[in-house]
Amino acid sequence: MLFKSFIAIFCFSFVHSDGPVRSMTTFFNPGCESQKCEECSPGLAYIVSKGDNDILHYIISAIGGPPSALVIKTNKPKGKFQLQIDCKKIASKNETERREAIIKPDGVKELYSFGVVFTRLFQYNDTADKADINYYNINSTAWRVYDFDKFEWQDLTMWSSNDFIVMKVKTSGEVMERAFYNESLLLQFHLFDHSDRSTELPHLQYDAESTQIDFTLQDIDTGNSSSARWGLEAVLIGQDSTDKPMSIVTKKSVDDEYTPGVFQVSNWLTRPGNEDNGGYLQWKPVCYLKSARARSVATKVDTTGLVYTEYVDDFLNNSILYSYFSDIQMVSRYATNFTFGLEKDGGFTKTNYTSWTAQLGYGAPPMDKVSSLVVGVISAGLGIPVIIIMFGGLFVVIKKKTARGEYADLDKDQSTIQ
Amino acid sequence: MMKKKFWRINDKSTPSNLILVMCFLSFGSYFCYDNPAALQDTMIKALDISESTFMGFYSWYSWPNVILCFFGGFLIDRVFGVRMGAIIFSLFVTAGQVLFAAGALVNHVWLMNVGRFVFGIGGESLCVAQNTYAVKWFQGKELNMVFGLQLSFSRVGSTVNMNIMQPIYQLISGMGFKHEYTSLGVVLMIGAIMCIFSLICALVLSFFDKRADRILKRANVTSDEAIRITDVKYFPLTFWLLCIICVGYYVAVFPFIGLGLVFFEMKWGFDPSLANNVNSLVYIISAVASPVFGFLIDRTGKNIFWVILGTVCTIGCHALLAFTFLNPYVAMSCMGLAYSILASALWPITAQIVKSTQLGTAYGIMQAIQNLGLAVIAIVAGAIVDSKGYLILEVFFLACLCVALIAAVLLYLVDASKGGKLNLSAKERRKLAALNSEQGEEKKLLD
Repeated sequence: MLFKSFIAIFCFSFVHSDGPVRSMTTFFNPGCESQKCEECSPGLAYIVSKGDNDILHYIISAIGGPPSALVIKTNKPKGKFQLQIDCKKIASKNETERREAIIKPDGVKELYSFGVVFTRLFQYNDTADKADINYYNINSTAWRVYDFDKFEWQDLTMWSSNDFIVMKVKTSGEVMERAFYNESLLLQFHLFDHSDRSTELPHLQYDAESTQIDFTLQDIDTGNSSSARWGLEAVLIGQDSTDKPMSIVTKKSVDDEYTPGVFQVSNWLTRPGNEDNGGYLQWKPVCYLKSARARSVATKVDTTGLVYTEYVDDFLNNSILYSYFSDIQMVSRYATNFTFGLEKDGGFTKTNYTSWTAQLGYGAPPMDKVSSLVVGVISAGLGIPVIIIMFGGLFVVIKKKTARGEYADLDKDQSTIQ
Repeated sequence: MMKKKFWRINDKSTPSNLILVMCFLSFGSYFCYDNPAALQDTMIKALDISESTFMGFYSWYSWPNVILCFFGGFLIDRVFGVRMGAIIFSLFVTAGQVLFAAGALVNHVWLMNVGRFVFGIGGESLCVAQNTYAVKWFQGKELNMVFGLQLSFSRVGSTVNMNIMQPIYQLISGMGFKHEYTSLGVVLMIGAIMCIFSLICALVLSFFDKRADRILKRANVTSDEAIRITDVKYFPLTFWLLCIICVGYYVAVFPFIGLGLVFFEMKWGFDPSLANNVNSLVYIISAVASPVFGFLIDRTGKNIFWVILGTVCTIGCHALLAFTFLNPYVAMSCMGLAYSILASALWPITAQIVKSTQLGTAYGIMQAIQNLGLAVIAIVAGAIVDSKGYLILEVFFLACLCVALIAAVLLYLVDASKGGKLNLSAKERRKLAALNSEQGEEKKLLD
């Protein structure tokens, strides 16, 4: 019995790397009688992730238009801990109803909350092949701006599962020529209850307090823009006062084991200087131009720096965030544009596909460490010659000494004969 | 007085600027070898081929030569002799380039591949002939510097090719040929002119070599002394260690340069032209430094120490590139210097291990093993980078260099235990050679 349990623990320790483990429960369209709910279109996913001392609540939805992921960290009370969410109220047109859609039961105290909202998509014609969105102004090239709050999304529950939430676009709305339909825009949220490394490039390391977001653009009719490139505008929000700054910290590393050819990782911190108690959005500056991700189809991802959100506060108020934050104007929020591509890579139109992965999480962002393989090979590779040199040198010295000894004996012999 | 005449080959019987002729022997081959790289985009467009078909121009050169230059070396020793060998292989080089150009003229890629194959047979074996010539003429004197000069010229040939082929193509295509591939064919034919120049060098060398043999009354090789293919089994351990050093070192330099461009762009954020500059530092520096270091090594001797120095230095450079963000100009410049040291010091050691009648075969083997290593490791390196990234690739190269280092240290130890012939200083070597030639003279007088 003891032996069996030892084996079980031994195996378990291999399966789950170090790091806390949580237990997750997923609810689709809470507040609705059944999962398929027309009134909650396009759908909402509510995930409760229970840890030892706290609970993470994820609310992922594109209700209102802009796709959002909200993360709320609360304490772990003895009684009820689930937030009471009524998705019908979130999706309603009535503002007061929207305000009372998310209710915290008594005993549940928020420790921190943060989230990411994708607000707009910019398409520009990169005629000079600079892959720099700031190179052009409004007049120097053709632009198309897609506001996510005009987008219609397909039913979230159709492709989602307990730890994998999928949003697919239905149309880009009436405003633009119908360039987006069916699978043109894909947002996939992976949820984790343990620590490990993603099996897909860029092999980001995740833990139980993070979620990975795959953003994919494919098969889009870019109209007359033959050198079209994209910029994705995203807003990161943190439950702090507006005078608290956020920052994007880019760390360089010599180690590109996990993401071949990429030597940087960027962390957008909601609480720089106090990362352990804040939220982050982490990404590697790489995106892929084919669905079979590989180094050969990788290209660069850049950001345009952090700016205030005065142009997109309306988008935030249209999203589910309106139901949680009493006044969005009082919360720390910043926006940036993620741009995809590098000069001479052919742009979006070459493969008509771009896919990028980012990670949203709580606490200090996970950092890659040099693996033991590298250390092992280096020590063996350099150690062996050093050892050989030492022993070889010793051997040569000894041989020289004994040779001299023999010569001396011979000399002695001769002298006695004479 | 008589001793002096035996020593100096570059006296009134042969001009000393024959060194230059010898270096130009393989200039045409090195010039035309990289024609595809210089005209890559043009070729892909004019012939309407894929990237992998284009890379085939290099595969058809290198894969056959994994084995063929061994036979080339053997043929030089056994059948042709170095004079005929150099001429024959120069003919192959010229014919191959002409076929390559003809294939482009008529837009038949298969003919171009045949041309590259023939070119390859000639090119690599011509290098073996060149090495054999160098040892025959300069052993005991400026051998290291001559090897350094040969390396220099090969780099110059490559660089000249890279810089003038595109402008020549622009010029030719401006002449209004109907098809792009016709212009391409004409440009490649111009490359063939370089090969004819090298052929002329082979003929000149042949003339002077025959004359020197006659004047110095060099004995003909008897059939007993001539090498048999089974003799390869009896090549000493030191020779095989030398081969290991050769492979271990070269596979850590050339495949790295092949993949270096993207490495510098991604890790240091260099733009493509700057990355190209850094990447070609090794070639540029070695073109200048090889003869200089060769001269230095001639003065000091102790080749094995220089080999070890070059290897350790390159290990340091790769470590800098792998584990730090230090400007790669530093590491690549040092690598260029280290490569110059090693190339000048390594190849002459063969001449002291192997009999002069077996030298062609020995160089053929070294070159064959080197080509095999380069071809295989190029593929392996590509696979490593795609799956595991550049850090692991650098660690892999460090491991290869450590293998070379271990072999070099073993070479020193094995040689030291047998009396330390290979690592003599220049003065000791001259004394030994004088002793040998005296004994040779005595033997002749006694017979």
